[in-house]
Amino acid sequence: MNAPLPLESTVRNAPATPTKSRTSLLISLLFAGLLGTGLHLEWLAGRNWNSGEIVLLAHLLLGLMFAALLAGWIGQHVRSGLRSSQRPAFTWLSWLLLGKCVLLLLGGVLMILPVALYLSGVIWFWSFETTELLAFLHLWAAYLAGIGLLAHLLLRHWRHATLTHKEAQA
Amino acid sequence: MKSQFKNNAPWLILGLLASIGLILAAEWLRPAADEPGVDLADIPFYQLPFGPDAEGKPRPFWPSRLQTENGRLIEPKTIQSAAACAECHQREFDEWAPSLHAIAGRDVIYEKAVEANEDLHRDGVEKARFCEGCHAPGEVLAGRTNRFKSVMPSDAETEGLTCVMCHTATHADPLEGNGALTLAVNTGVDQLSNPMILAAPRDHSRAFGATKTNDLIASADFCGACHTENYDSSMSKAVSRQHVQSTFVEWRDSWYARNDVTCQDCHMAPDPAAYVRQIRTGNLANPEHYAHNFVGSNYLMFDTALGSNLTYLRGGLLPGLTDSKNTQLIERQGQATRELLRAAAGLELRDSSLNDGQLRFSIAVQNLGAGHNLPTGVIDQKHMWLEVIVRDADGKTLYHSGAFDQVRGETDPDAVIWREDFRDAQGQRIPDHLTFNTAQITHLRPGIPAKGEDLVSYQTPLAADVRGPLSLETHLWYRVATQEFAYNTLKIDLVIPPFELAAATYSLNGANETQP
Repeated sequence: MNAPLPLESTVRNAPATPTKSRTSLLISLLFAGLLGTGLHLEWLAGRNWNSGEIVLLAHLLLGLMFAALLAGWIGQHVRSGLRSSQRPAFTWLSWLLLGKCVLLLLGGVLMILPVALYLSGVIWFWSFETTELLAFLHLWAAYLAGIGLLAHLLLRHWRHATLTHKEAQA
Repeated sequence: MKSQFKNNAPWLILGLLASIGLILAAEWLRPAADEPGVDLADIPFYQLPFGPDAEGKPRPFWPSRLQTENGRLIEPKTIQSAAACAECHQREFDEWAPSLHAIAGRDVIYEKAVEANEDLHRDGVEKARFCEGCHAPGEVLAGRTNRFKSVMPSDAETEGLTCVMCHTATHADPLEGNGALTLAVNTGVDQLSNPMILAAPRDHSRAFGATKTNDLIASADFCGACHTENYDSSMSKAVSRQHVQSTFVEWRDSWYARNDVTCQDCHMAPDPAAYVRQIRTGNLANPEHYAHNFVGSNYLMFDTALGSNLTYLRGGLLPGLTDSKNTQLIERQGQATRELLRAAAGLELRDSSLNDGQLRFSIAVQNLGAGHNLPTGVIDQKHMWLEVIVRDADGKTLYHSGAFDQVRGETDPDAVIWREDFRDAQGQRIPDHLTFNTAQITHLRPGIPAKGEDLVSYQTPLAADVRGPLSLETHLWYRVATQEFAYNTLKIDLVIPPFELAAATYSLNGANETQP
C-alpha cells in the first residue's frame, strides 16, 4: 500500500513557520564574518600586522556585537526550538552547538579581558600558558561551532512522515 | 533542503565574503612594510673604514661582530624603549633598571674610556663600534657610532642592553665573542599598540619570545657572545689575537658547565648570593624563577654613599625612572651585589713556620662561588689583591703586604695582585684601558679558576726578639678600576674604594713554638 505522505505542515507538533528572524540571519552573517577574520588572525595576520591590526579591531567589534545579539536572541530560540524539535539527536546536537558557542564566546571574552582592563587603566594579563590555552579553545570552539551550525541548519528537526505513520499505527 | 539552511546560507556566504573583503581592504590600506630596517646607503655620511668582508659584503658594524638578521640597520623609532615595555612588564623593568646592563652604554666610566680611545685614531669613532656593539647595540645598529651623527637618537639607544636587544636574538657565537650576536630586531618585532598586543599577545610573544630566542637567551652561549673579548688588528695594535675577556671559556671548562649550572642560574637568581651558597652545598636545583637584575661584581655603581656622584657615574636617570625610584632600586641591587661578591671567595692559612729567622706562611685564595675565574672579565681594571699583616703579641706590625692608601687610592706595588695588563707595541703597560693602543695582553697573575685556589706564599725575616704569639690578618680586596684610570681618563678626584671579598685572622702557632 502506498499511503500518501503527509505534508510537512501536518507533521505532529511541527512549528507553524520555520525560524526566520532578521536577528538569526544577522547572527549567521556575523558568525561567518568572525570565522573569516579569526582564521586570518590565526594564520595570516602575523606576516603583516599593519593590516592585521585593522582586522583584529574588526574581529573584536564584530565579536562583541555577535555576543550581544546571540545573548538577546538565544533564549527565545531555545524555548521555541525545544517545543518544535522532534528528534532527540537534533536536540542534543543543538545543545552541543550552544555549548560550543558559550565556549567560543567565553574564550573570546576572557581573551579581551586584559584589553578591557587596560582601557580602564589597569595593567593585567594572562600568563603565557593561559593565553595559549584560551587561544586554543577559542580557535577549536570556532571550528566546531562552524560545523555545528551547518549541521543545525541542515539536519531535520522533525520526524519523517513514514516514522510518524508507523508510530501512529503502533 | 531544509528551509533554515536555504535562508541562512546566503548570509553565511555574505559574511565570509565580507570578511575576505575586509582583509583585502586592510591589506590595501596598510600594506606590509617594505624590507624592514634601513639600508646602509640611506645613512648619510656613514663611514666604513674597515672595508668589506671576505665575500665583498659591507660590514657596517665591524669591528663588533654584531649583526641584524636581515643585514640592515635599524630604524630607531621602531625600537621600543624599556620604559614602553615597562607599561606591562613593570616587575622586569624594575629588576633590569638598576642593572649594569641598563647603563652599559651610558655609565660615565665607560663613556670616558670610549672617548679616550676614540681620540687615539683617525677612525676612532668607527673603531668604537667594537665597544658599543656590546655596550650600546642600539647605537651601533642605528648607525650612530659614526663620526658624523646623521641618525636621530632614541630612548632605546640610550638604554644599553635594553629589552629588545636580548629578546630578539637568534644566534650567538660565544667563542668568537666581541658581540657575536644576530638580532631579529628589524624582522622580529611587532608594531602593535598596547591594547592590540593585549588582544593578540601570541604574536607579541612570537616577536619577543620566539622559542628559538627563548632557548638561546637561556643559554650561556648567549652571554658568551659579549663576555668573550678578543683584540685583533681591527681595533687594536695586536698582531695576533689577544684574549682580553675569557669568561665564557672559563665557565665552559669549569665544574659549573659540567653540572649545567649556567650564567643565568647565578646572575639571574632572585637572590644570587643565596643561590651560590645553595650550589656550594651541592644542591643544583634551578632558581625558582629568573630575575632581570643580572647581578654582577661592579659594587661601585651601587655605592649610594657616593650621593649625586653615583647618578653622574651611572650616566643620569634612565627613561621611565624617577630619582627616588632609581635610588631605591640601586640600593636593593647594591645589597645583592655585595652579598654575591662575599659569596665568591675564601681564604685559608695552609702552613706557617719560622726557621733560620725567616717567617714563612702560605695563604690559599679560594674561588668558592664564582662559576668562572676570580676575578673575571676585562681584568686590566677589575682586579683583586691580597693584603696580609703580621703582628706580634703587642700588636706591632712586623710585616705588611698589599696595603691600600685610602687618600691617594694606590695599592702597594709589591702586593700579590690578580690582574691582566694591556701593553703597547713597546711592551709598556697601559694602565687606563686604551684598547686601540694595546698590542699584547699579559697577566700579572691570572684569575683563579672556578672551585680552584691559588696558593700564595710569603717569606719575611723576623728579628730574634719578636714576642709571640704572632697574628696574621688577611684581606682579599677587589677593585673595579685602577686609580690611574680614574685620574687619566675620568679626570675626577675620586678614590675608587676597594671592596673586601674575604677576610680572616689567624694565630701563627708555628711561629710561637719557634720563639726564642
